[in-house]
Amino acid sequence: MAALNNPLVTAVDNFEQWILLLDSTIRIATPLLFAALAGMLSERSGIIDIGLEGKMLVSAFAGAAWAAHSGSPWQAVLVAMAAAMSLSMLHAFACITHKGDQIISGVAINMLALAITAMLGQRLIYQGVLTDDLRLMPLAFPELLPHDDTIVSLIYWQLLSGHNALVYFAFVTVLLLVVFFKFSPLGKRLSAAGENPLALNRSGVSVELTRYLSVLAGGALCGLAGAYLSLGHGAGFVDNMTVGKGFIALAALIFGQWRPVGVMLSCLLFGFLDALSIRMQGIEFFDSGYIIPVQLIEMLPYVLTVLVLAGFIGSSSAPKALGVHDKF
Amino acid sequence: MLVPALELKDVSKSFDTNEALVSASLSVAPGSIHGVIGENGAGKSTLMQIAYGLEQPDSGVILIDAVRVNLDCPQTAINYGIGMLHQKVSWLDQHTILENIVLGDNIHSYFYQSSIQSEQNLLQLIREYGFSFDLGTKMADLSYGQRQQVDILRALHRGVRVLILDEPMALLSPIESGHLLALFSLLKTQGIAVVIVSHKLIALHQICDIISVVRHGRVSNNIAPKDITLMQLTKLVVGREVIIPHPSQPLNVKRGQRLLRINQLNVQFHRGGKRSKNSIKLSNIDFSVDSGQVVVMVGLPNAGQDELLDIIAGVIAFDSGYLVIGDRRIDSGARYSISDARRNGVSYVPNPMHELGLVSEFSMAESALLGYQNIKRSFFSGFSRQHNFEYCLNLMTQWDIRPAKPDMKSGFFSGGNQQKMVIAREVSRRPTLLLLNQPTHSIDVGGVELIYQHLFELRQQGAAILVASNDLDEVISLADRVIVMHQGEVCAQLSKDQLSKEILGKLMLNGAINE
Repeated sequence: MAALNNPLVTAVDNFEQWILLLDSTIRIATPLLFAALAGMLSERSGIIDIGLEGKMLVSAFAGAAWAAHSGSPWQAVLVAMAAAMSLSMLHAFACITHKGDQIISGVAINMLALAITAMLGQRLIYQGVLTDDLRLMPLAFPELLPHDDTIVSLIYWQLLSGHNALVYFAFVTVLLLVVFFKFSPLGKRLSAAGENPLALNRSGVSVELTRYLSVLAGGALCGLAGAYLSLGHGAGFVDNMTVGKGFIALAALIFGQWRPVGVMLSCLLFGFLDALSIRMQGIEFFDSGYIIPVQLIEMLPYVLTVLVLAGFIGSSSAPKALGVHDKF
Repeated sequence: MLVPALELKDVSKSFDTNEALVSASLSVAPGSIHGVIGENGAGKSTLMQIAYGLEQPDSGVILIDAVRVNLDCPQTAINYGIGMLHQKVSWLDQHTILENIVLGDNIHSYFYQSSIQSEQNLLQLIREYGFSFDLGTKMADLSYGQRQQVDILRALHRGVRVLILDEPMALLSPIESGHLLALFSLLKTQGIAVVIVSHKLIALHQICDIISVVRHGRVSNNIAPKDITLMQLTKLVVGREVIIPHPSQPLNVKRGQRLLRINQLNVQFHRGGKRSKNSIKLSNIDFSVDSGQVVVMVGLPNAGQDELLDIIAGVIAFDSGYLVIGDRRIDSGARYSISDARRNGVSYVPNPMHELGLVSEFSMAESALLGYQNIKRSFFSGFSRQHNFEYCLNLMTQWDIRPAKPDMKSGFFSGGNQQKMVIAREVSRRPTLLLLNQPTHSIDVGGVELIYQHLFELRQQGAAILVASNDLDEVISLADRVIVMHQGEVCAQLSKDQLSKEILGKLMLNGAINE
């Protein structure tokens, strides 16, 4: 950690630096991954989920508030999930039951979340840092390896060990979702709802119920993303603390082609770019006297997403019925 | 007397202020083929939708095997053994038949569900009923007729007792209906009832054990077809005797100028903005249509007729070749849109199954103006409600569209009346080239007669008419010349005196007469 805070570090020049960079990549990628998987569940069933940002923000707030009042971080995680699911329910009610515009509903959720958390944040809890016992504590791996400077040990202790439970759970979720979409009858119905809802309807399955379930499941995952922000990564709630992470997650979802593993890899890539941009601040470009603009790196996720959507990198394979209202 | 498999008793239903059903009763015996006929808007579809749980009756009861049930959604109806074959079959094309069918199986385990049991059941059914496909085949590789058979297989897999067919297209050509009829007689022996809703009285008269006639929201007659002639049947439906198949009218204008020429037209299949190499949609289409001529394209569904009409109407683009419409030549890269086509005197009635003709949320008066909304009567005038209303009312009386309420939402009209309005709108603009896709698919015998009269009148005035149809009776009634399409190619052109159903059927299926 010392290296991160040292302003004199000029480049990633040895192995330990790389490990530290990857370590922060994982920390940054976790909320993106939760949010992108949440978006995946919703969008694979055909409902556009642009409200990821808002749901993350509300769940981050709800988690921090509950932790501050009840003193239990794990209860707070559940409350955060419930908060995000309630917004998902709103989205589902507007988009599925009333066939409203999915983009507008999502934008409304984002605006509502920003406003309501700012207002309640000032009224209900004091903003700022939660005490350490209200955070999700890092989990240390068992002492299988000695602490030394070998590569294996560095990977084991620095990269893999010492994250909080949600980080590990995020990657387990990827695995679960791969299995879910491949083997579970529900998973097949879910993707049928997004690919060809009429066919699903013809086979006697309620498209609306399927979509409700997947949007709600997405809300639960999105709640974990928010909980990670206020209880795991940070401690406490700050106004607009998501700062666009929901949109980067949406970009990662598209870049990952709506597939669990693809989404995980793109979240890691975007997390890496973010971690890199933090470390590249003030660094000269090959000693030429020009400072690399950090914004250039921060821009990359969006540029890559646009390139994918435009068909330059692979072909975009969005669910065919995404955002389409069907008449049966 | 057997207990009826399905019984609807005194069912009433109204939409808005419009009474669709007034205490209608229908009783379907097990192991029978039961036809349901009636005029457009008589309430047949509503009756079937209630039986399948898509609509809830305002009053009345539904009995299955003499037990009163509440069908609140199609899922419930399926569980009670009611199956429906929809006009529009829809499947997950990239998945196999097995995957498509087990999609709707009851879920026993949320994590992993083996499909072995279903597979064995399906294999058993395939053997029993002699279906000609393999469970591992991808849906995309099946023909339209086979896709409909998979629908029947799925219904059997769910334990169907009453199978409802809504305007089955397969009844239209002799070869496709051959498979279906053989299947029906097998279903009968298993005690499964088949309910067919259709306007094709000729086919129903041949195959049904009993026919129920729906008039003005009531089931007015239940008759056995063997006791009655075809002509008497038409009288029961529309109140007067209609000759079916509808007689054709001889052409008595001399050949006019060439209004449509299609030269070496090719279209490839596009997916996601990219041209895929192997699949060709249309290749080397080359024919022409002259004024004063009705040319009918026949072919199995998806043989390319829909695409060809879309191209001529300016809806989709083509890759090579050119079109000449009137005296305008259109090359493959040229800017040519629907409004260009309309300016060149082309009118287009799209396939009613795609529901592109009307906006169901608009009032009928507004829908009657669609496509021509920019034609102003004078420089300053925009829309005039009064004018639209009268225009629409005029069309409604001329074309017998009921109810004659221009203010009613388009979506509340029955499918046949909606289609009549679309045809009325396009024909009344006096096009020089009229394109029609399955024009009379859901229209009753009286309406069909009326439409044919209007079309023949338009032909008399020198218009060229190009029709795509799968209904061989319609082909024989309308056509001055027939173009047979097979897998994206024109495989034969026949003149009026060469037409017979057998020849057409063989050409549609194989693309050649001998085989």
